[in-house]
Amino acid sequence: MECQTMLKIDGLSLAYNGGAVLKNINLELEKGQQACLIGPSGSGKSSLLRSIAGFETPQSGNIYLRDELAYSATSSVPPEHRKVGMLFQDLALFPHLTVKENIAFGLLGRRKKEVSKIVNELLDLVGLLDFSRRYPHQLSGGQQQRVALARALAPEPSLLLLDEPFSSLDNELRSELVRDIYQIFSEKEITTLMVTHDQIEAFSVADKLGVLIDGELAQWGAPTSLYNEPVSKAVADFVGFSSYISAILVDKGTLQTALGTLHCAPTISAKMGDKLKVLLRPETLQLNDNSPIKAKVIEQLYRGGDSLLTLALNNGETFFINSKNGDNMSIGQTVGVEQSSQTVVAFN
Amino acid sequence: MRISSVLRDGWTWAASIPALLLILPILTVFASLLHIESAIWQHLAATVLSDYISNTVLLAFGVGAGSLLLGTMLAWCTTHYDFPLRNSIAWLVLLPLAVPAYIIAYCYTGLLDFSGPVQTLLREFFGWQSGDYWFPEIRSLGGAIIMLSLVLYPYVYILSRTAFSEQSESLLEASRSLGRSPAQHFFKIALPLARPALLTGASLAMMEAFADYGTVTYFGVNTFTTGIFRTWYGMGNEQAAAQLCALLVSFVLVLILLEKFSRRKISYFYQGQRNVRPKRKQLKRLPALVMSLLCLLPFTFGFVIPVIMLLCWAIEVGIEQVDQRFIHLLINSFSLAAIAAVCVVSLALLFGYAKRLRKTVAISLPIDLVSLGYAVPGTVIAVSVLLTLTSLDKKLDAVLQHWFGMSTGLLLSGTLFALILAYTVRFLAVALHNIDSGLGRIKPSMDQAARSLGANRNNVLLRVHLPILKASVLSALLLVFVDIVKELPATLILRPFNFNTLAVRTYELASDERLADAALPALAIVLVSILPVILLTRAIQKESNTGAGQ
Repeated sequence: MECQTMLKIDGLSLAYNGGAVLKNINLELEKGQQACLIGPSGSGKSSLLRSIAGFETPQSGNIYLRDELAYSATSSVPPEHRKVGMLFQDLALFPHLTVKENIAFGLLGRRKKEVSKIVNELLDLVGLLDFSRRYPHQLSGGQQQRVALARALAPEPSLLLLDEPFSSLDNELRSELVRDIYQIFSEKEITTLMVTHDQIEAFSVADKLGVLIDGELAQWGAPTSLYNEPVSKAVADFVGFSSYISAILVDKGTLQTALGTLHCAPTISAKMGDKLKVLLRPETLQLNDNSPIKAKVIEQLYRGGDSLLTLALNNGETFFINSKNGDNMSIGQTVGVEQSSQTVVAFN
Repeated sequence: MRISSVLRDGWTWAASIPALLLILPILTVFASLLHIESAIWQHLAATVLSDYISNTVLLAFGVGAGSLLLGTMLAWCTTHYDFPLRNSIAWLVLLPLAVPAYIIAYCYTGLLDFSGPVQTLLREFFGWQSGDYWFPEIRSLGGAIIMLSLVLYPYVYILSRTAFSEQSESLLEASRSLGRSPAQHFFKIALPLARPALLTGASLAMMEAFADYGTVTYFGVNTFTTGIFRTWYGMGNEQAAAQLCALLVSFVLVLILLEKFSRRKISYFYQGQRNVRPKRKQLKRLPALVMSLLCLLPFTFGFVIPVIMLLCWAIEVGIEQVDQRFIHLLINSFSLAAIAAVCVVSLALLFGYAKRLRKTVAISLPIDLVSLGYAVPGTVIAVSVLLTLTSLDKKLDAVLQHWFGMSTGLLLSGTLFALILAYTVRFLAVALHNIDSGLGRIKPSMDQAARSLGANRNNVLLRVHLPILKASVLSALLLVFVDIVKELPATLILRPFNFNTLAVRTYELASDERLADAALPALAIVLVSILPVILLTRAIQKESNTGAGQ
């Protein structure tokens, strides 16, 4: 039977000069899954990728690739034998080699015919057949990305790591390229793990999404659960827009707030009468003039398709809300508001 | 890294020990200051010291000002105006760099002397006799300043050219829209912005002026370098010579500090603006022609005239000059330069990799200190190497005499070893600069990319580093090779008995007033020196081509 778990990390910890960079990381990736890692800068995202590729020496924990031990405190497979491909932020194309030679770099020891067949297939795949004899500096930014991708794919790695490879491109080119490249990944069932600081990109391509905060993998799961059910306030704050109103736990899974009675998961670790904070996503709230709950518009940010309004309740609490007809609003106007989502998330 | 792990690291030892050994000679010179004999210094102070100081300082600042004037003018004209031959002029003006200062001094002396063609022609034309007329004396401090400026201005030109072409066109547009004329823009904006580059170029030229021995000794100008020679050989006082060396090095150190100080704000000057290359202004016919001629002047006086003079002399003495002895001279010069260049570049590779792999002060500090050797005059390096090695030789001899009953004589100081050591101290920075910039092009992520594509460490060196570094290593070899062929004072002091090189022979013949005989070895030096200038030219043209493509 073909192995399904391409990457498994167990209790991985890494420190430089005494400062902890990664703390007890655990995660798993199945074959063909596209995963993304997001997190504030300096949270250890790149260090995690570099540990997987074999460029860092973690202090403890195990890394398994295709169910084989690649790293433990006592043994380490050198990077060149891990069969892990990597796309670098600065691409790291070899300036002295042509496009063709760059792609063939990882195919040492294979027959010439085989090499040129693989290279041509990859050139075709990334749409650069006419550029095989060019040098990297003769290509545009987007073309260079494609070469770097083809080069990383050539030795058929079992896992491809992407370290913010698209960050140098402008937005328009970027979203098109990312769509093309992830098309290739899913067609070829390539397992990938990408570090990015673009959340929209991460949400649009990922099957699994992880948030790293201060070296800890705060949450690891499907993008929807990350957005709708963040496990901590830190995750909620980092992902998307968030605002909070205070609440009191009045019954198992029942919260009393200024927006009325709301429901949360009954498993919440809080005692009756505890003061909690309820997470409000701007799109889970709606304007409704018939609603008994009134709020005042204190700021509006027109964003083209919709507006992001900042509303203030009578008790002074403020929160964000998405509005389709925000252009009709004026500052100081009183509006009715209601929470459309049945269940909410609350934090201590 | 912790101190204990630094001490156990092989790279630290491999890099810092040779680096510290290379610093040793200079430290010896400063150590000489511990034993000051007041009698000698009173004598020096009463007689020549004030001359040494004033001439050296005047020479350095004169050359600094002269090269600033020529270099800045050429750089501004070639980056901001379009005129006939502009493309050729942009690299032709680099050629004076190929003429060592002492050689241009010989040429102009031959040309402008009482018996030279210029004065002879004037006398014949006007029927003057000797003493009837005034003619500027080339063999003077002013003459030395002009000679050195004519061959050193390219330092300023190269650096200010880059600085000017990096200044965005939008800056000029902004000052114009704020009501400033192009001339006001030049003095208020362009010049202050380019200041760090200009001063770096000028300070390089000034260091060469501090280091010059061949020109000033030929012109009879008393500077520190000639004083060191005289104190060493004439008065036979090694300690006092070493102390003069220490004083000269202090002058150079002040210059380095001033230069570093002026660059303090360099990041402030180069904000991340989106660069639009300056557009070149098309001049009308007459002004364009005038500018062409003006820009050709430094090249004519700094290269064409001296080379024609040398050619005339060489033809005058005839082809018989190319004899066994001359061939021997060539072989001596080139083999010495080649061996030394290989040593210097190998060390530079060791240091470059050590710095790349271990970012510790234990490695970078000694290497940075050795790199300052480029600023130390050749005379000083020679004296310091000689002092260090002779005392080592004496100890070695005594030890071997005692234990084995054999005498080694001057094993270190009397052989080519001393010369190669001196060249290493003086030219390591040149090689290291090239190697560093080559290594800089190999980003750490390239090593990692190669590893993740299945290459082991040796493969990475062989398939990635070697091909990328090749060009840098070759240009480092070439630059050091040519610098050594041109080098005069250290070679003069340290060469083994009866070992002659092109530079030394040129100097000896010129000192004997046999200028015509000196032409052939001088021409050989100039021809070889053109090679790195061509290399530089290519680099500059590549730069301006990519600029035009934007």
